[in-house]
Amino acid sequence: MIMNWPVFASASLTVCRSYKYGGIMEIRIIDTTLRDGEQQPGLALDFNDKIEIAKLLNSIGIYQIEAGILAIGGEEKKSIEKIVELKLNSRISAWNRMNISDIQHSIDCGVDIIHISVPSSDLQIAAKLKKDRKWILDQLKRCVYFAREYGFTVNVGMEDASRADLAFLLELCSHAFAEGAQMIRYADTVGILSPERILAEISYLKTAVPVDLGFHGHNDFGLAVANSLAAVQGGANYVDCTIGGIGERAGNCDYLQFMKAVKECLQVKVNPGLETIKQVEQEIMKILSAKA
Amino acid sequence: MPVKVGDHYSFIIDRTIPELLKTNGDITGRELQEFILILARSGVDYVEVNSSALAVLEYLPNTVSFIFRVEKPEDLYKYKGSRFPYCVMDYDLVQDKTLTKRFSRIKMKAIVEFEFTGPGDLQKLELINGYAGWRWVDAVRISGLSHAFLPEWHQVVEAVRKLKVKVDICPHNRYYLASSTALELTGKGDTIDFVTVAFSGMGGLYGFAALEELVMGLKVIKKVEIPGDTALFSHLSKLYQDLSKRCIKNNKAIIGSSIFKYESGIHADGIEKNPLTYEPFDPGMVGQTRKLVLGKHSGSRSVISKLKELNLGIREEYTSLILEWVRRSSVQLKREIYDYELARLCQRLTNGLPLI
Repeated sequence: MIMNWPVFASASLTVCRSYKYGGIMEIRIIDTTLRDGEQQPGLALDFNDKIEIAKLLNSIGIYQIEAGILAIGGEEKKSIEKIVELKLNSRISAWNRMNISDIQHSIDCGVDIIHISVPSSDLQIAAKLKKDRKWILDQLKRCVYFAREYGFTVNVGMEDASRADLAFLLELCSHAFAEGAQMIRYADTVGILSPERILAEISYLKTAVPVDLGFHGHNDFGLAVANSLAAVQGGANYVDCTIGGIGERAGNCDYLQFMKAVKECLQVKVNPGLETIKQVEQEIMKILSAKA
Repeated sequence: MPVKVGDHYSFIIDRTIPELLKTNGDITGRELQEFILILARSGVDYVEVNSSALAVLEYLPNTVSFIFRVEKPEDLYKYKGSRFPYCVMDYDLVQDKTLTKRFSRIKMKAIVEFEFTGPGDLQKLELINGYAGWRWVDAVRISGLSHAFLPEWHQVVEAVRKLKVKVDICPHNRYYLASSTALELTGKGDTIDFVTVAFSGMGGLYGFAALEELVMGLKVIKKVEIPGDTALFSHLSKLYQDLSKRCIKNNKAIIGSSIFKYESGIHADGIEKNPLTYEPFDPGMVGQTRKLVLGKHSGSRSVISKLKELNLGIREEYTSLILEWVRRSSVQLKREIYDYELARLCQRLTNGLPLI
């Protein structure tokens, strides 16, 4: 039976507190509406939309806003630069492929966090990059080192981790941690995880490497909320969500749904309240669904 | 054909029909029959119907197995003997002694539905063991299970395993965990005998586990052989929308109409090289096709592929010009660029006209 774990007053950017094997931990939400969410085919946000959404996300205390991909250039780059200029309480991160040129864009923009995406399954490494695991490890070290040299906080995303060899994931985590990555994200890129498996894999990685772990779920089988919850149970303290669950294919983990599940199933208080989140979600959905 | 996990068989029950009739009273018998036939062909073992459905249906197709839902004592008189291998009824009805006597007389098999509302109900599962002595109770349907999650979920599994009756689970989707509960329990292999779901998760106060998510989850994630034709899900979703007068969200898992569209340069590049890089399964498995669309996140490779797909013969040096126009127009229009718009643009370029 679920026990009532102690709940502390929320700090400004802390969403809620839960437990990990009897301990107390924070769950920090990384909102990726402006990056993975916007990649939903047919969705195209302009400069003002992105700024407005970033402000709304900040208003509900989102810990980290993944604002987009600077390497796309054009209006996307300008909007991320503007979001950084706003100096919001939420930390602003930009998504980067694992190459120096992309990372340089993020450095120039001055985001708070540089997220480096690392293909981790043999399928992605071979079919997409036509490389091997050794190349991935070398490139990972090079990229994390490069960003850290400039003093940036670095997150590493293990893309397609749910189809990767767990031993290789451990190797990636160890190398990223050794190079100074602050958080490592396990991405279920095509949504094929089930709760028991993510619980086991996150627990394994968390025990082996003393680094913060995050989880990025997709909803291809309707399991994004359940998998995100299981990741938290396994020890992940960062969870990626999008407003309305928008995103590629069947979308990402829906922020409001996740918060409801956290509140009821983990028996903890959430900050802000669900009503506030719902109101802000409605405002953002209006922006997202507006057509010219 | 039930789902076989290891040496254990689990039967899938679909309870969409009574829910459909609640939302639309104008459904004809013929429409309902078509929906039922496709449900059965897509992997459902038993289709649950109630007296409202029997009033609409002219006859029950022989190729489909049905379960009859007894909603009130009078319903039992509509019970058509061997046509229904099972009846299902709420726990409250079982308290009616007249009803239970009749059950004994007609020698039917019953599934008693018992709602599991929260963690406190774990102890109530013990009560279910009491039904083991009632010969006509073949199974207990544990519905609800909304909060059931780790670690409580393990306790539920343990408690379920101890039951001396067959077990049917019907998770509710109050906290968006219904499909995961259905999938994990069914995928275990030796835990449950029936799993009750509804197409698109329709029904009840919060919705049920979605049939299509369970079936595809078993097939792709749990690698279980599914006897049904999952390609029929696409057809089923069209019928469902017609009958329920509800729209399925275009990004709804498994059956959304846009789930196999792809736009961003990174995804387009990966899918061109090997579709599995960014797709969990082939779209054909659920009766869909993939579609490349152009928009704000497109890359030059996407433009080249689209031009080729539409057979728009245009010189390659125009690619970056077209890409720039696609991205700009997509942001202005706040949507993808339609194929006819791209064709019109290419026409202008071919004729030496300026871009607009």
